[in-house]
Amino acid sequence: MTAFDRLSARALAGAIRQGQMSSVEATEAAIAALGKAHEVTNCVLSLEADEALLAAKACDAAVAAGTAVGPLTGVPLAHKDMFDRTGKVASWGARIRASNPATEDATVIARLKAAGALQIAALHLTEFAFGPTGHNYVLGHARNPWDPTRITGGSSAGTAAAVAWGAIPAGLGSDTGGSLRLPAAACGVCSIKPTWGRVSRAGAMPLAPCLDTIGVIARHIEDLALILGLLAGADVRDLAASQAPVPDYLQRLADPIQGLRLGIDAALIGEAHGDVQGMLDEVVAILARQGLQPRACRFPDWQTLDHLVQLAQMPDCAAVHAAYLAARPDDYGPQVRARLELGHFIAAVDHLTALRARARYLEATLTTTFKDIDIAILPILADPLPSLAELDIGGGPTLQAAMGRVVKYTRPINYLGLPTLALPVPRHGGLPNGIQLIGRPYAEAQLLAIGQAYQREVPAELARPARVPA
Amino acid sequence: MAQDRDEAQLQAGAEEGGAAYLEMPPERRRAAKAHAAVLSQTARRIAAELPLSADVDDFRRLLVAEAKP
Repeated sequence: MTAFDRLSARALAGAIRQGQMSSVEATEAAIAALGKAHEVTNCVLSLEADEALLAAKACDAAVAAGTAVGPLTGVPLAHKDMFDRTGKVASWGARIRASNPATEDATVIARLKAAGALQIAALHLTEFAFGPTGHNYVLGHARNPWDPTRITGGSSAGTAAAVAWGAIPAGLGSDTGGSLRLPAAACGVCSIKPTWGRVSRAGAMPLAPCLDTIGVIARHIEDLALILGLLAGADVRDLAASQAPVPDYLQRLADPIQGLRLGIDAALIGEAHGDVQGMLDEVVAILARQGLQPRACRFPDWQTLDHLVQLAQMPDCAAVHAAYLAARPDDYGPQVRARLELGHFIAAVDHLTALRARARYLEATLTTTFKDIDIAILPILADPLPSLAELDIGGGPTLQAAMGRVVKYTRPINYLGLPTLALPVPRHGGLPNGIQLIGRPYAEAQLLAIGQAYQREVPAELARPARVPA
Repeated sequence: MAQDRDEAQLQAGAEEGGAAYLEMPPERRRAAKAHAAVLSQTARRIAAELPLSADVDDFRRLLVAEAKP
């Protein structure tokens, strides 16, 4: 039997279904591993061991009775603490939300429950998911499982750290400016940020609704495919949720990828640190061996896109928090407070200009950047993995520039609403990093098929913290 | 509470320009204002290129059109 911490969620579900492992055994193993991961990484905000074990017993009983039909029956998962769950208070990574338990599950939580998945913990996030590094000035910083002096990336820090550790096979996160991709890269795991609107946000904490996207972090591409397939689809509770049919992402993992054209914007990539450019070159070579054909491409002016996404995002965030920020400013950490304040200085006219221009920039990207390519590749982090100390800048004067550098390659993609797949680069014993593959709208199946091929050469087992016992 | 803040502080905030209702030290207020001004330059340039008919919902319409089985 393969060790629990190496199994995909899909394989674990199969093992439980076939009686090779009980849900209680899997859940106990996950709880123990999560406890160890937390000691190093601070990845857990609340561990729900008793409740999870009770649910696991019920799953085992259902398996024994032959009534368990969900594709994730009995599989222990844990998620970023920003989703409503009936009777619970999601912390949102903040100290402001001390009351008002949810009366209904978030749609994504309800869909995972319906699939039989368990939730064993609520995981760390940057305060209000508003920060790309994993620093949290009110609940404590997250620490990288490979090197606790380094950042985890954020804001879905706890999910990425727990997945990298092997404590859970997969978990939910969100991405408004890079929050699924940055922690995946920093922790050496995979993530899928779907097309904006592909997954319902009902019951999820709003950060900037015009950009917010719910997605999945996992070690195995097949888990991204399985879970995205469960989450995606129309939802009357979120009118932005797409009614487009949901492909069978698992089946589509076998789609041929030979001949797909991989777009490389050399000038834009050239703005990354030399080491990061080298990592990206290595990934391009791997993908070329899998049959992809590298081609030159050019994104629209990146600085303009970066300004437009800030004009869209900052007032959106500020509006969500306007009442709290005016009434309880001292309850916010210094970094989030300073970033929220910025939104109050952006004119409504400028915010609306950015939103009115959004279709024009997406169209230009599709007709120009993607004219002769199928997908594009970009770095995620512009630099080798930074330390916690060097980015421990609170709300100080270097805030905008430092945050801008961290999200340089991620934030503009949110403005375009495009799907991205984050893949870990081969580490060669060094610190993790990652790249992102960017597709046309609703090209998630294509991205995942490429990721599956990539993982044949760079398997998840190569991307594990050395401190995790084999 | 914002309402409890003394009049002088609000006045100082107003003189610095924008968001006088927020309790902010002057240097952070200046930094936010300066950053917003840089972004605003881009917004003005883009606004000049946009047709009057450009609508915030065009983005969602384009995504819907791109959705293929």
